[in-house]
Amino acid sequence: MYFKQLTGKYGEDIACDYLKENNYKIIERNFSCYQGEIDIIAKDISKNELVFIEVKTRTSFKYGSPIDAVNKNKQKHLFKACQYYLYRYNLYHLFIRIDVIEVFIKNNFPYINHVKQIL
Amino acid sequence: MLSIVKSIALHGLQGYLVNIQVDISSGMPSFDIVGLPDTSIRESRERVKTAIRNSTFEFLSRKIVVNLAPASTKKEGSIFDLPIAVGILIASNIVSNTNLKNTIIIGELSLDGSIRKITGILPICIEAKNLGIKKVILPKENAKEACIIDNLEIIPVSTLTEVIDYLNGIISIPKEKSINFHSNIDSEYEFDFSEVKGQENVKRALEISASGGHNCLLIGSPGSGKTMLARRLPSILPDLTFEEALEITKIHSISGLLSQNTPFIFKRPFRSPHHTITETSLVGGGRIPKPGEISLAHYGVLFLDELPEFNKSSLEVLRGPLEDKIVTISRVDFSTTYPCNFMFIASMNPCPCGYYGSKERQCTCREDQIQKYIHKISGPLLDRIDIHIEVESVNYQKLENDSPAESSCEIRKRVNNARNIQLERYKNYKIFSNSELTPALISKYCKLSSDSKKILESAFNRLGLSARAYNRILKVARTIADLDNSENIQTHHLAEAIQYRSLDRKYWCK
Repeated sequence: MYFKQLTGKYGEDIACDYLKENNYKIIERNFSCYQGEIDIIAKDISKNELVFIEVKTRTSFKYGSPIDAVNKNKQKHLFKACQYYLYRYNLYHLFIRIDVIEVFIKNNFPYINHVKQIL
Repeated sequence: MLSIVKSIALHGLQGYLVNIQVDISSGMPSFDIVGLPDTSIRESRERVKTAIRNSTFEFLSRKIVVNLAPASTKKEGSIFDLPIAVGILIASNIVSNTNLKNTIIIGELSLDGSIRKITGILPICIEAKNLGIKKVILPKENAKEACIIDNLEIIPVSTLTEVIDYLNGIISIPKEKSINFHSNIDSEYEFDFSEVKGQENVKRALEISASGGHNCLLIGSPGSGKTMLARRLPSILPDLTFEEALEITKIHSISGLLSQNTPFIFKRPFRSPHHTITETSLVGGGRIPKPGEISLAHYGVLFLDELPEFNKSSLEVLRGPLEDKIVTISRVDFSTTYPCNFMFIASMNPCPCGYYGSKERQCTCREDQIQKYIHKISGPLLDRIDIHIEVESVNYQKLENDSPAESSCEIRKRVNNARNIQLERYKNYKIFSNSELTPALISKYCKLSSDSKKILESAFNRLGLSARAYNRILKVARTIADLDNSENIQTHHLAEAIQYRSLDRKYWCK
């Protein structure tokens, strides 16, 4: 694996740990389809919502903050992939939320920022 | 979950009930507003979303559909922000009190959750009362304007949090006290007729036109005091009745001309637009028609200074409104009718140099120049003006004379007296002055003696008057008789009315 992919994988693992600690149940990871990819699909148990999470990991702010990378185009792909997921597993009765988790790694120490409800 | 909140939208001066139905369901998160909203309503999505978040409520990630019923009518404006926000909070169980059957909610939201004032509160509240609504929740800045309507509980609010706490019964908001119309009429005016030396004949003409609401044209050389006299006209206009004031305030309300300091119009409006005014701003218009100057001058005065300088087409659009006292503005989306029962006062010079017919100075204009200038005022428009009066220059003796002229207060007493006679006489006809008489009412109330008939006949033939001029002379004669406290129109009343019509012969028909 390349360094970039490794960083991404590492960030997603950290995000998963964070979610588990915060009363979320991980349902699926790296769901991929023609419409796009969803990093983490989890269930927010306290709010009873199905949450689709895009994780963005960065090691420097040289190219802007992580959430800036989730632009309109990325949001569109994410939205389409979520729709496909709902269709595939017939989950229309659930409340849906789409989140972004920013992971910033500095000196081997991760900083997490959870941005809820981006759409 | 579904919630329904009531609100009222405006179509011209007429309000209609709008049910704001909010449905929150599962599925991909979205926020849609349907029911023919215009851009300002569609933009309210962002305002509502942000205001709810900034008021420390949670805006849940849900599929939200808002319907503005009746869905077939186009709706505009930002007045639905607050009812949409309240509807969403009811549907997401943040508000427990859902008994809003007899409540109207209106208001625009800012991003921080505070509620901004809106336009057109008065017609909305009138419609609410007609619909049997008990309570109106509205922006604090609009409360004073609304509380002129009695039997309606006005709840002034300033933030979204306040509305929710009020609906949940956590806080109580004292309802706005209603204001008494009659104790608020003030008779303070900037200018007074006592400042004008001489010009008794013009003052008399203005007194007559103020009493009966007649149109008046002042012709005179520069500096003779035409504008000065016209500016003092508001100080002798009769006091408003409550019904008239309500109509005026309605128009000012939808034009957004009311403020917290002047929540209600207690004085007759005096509008004097500059002569560069366009047709549209004069009669009203826009994609969704807004009232123009003539409607803003409803039950008041529209004063056009230097009449020939106005664009000819702007003047000609006045023809219909002057006669019908209403104006219907049609656009693709809407067609609305606004009332425009105004007193038309105009002033002009008799020629380009201004001294034609003057005793003091020689006119330097060529005959064709005078004709061209004077004919900028078309015959049909002139025919609609009841009183033509020549304003002559004041001589030195009169200017130096220190004996005080009659004050506006004294003139207004007579005008009010004459107007009260008219109000009493026409109380069953929904009209307020002699100028509004219909032909049927003219034959009922403007009966002439045989002597008077003879005078009118000879004047009619000699001056070549039109049928309209005939009616208008009778109306003016009726007003003069009212000023004289006379039951019937006497010969001298009629004679005075006729001489106010004879001036156009001098200038226009040479």
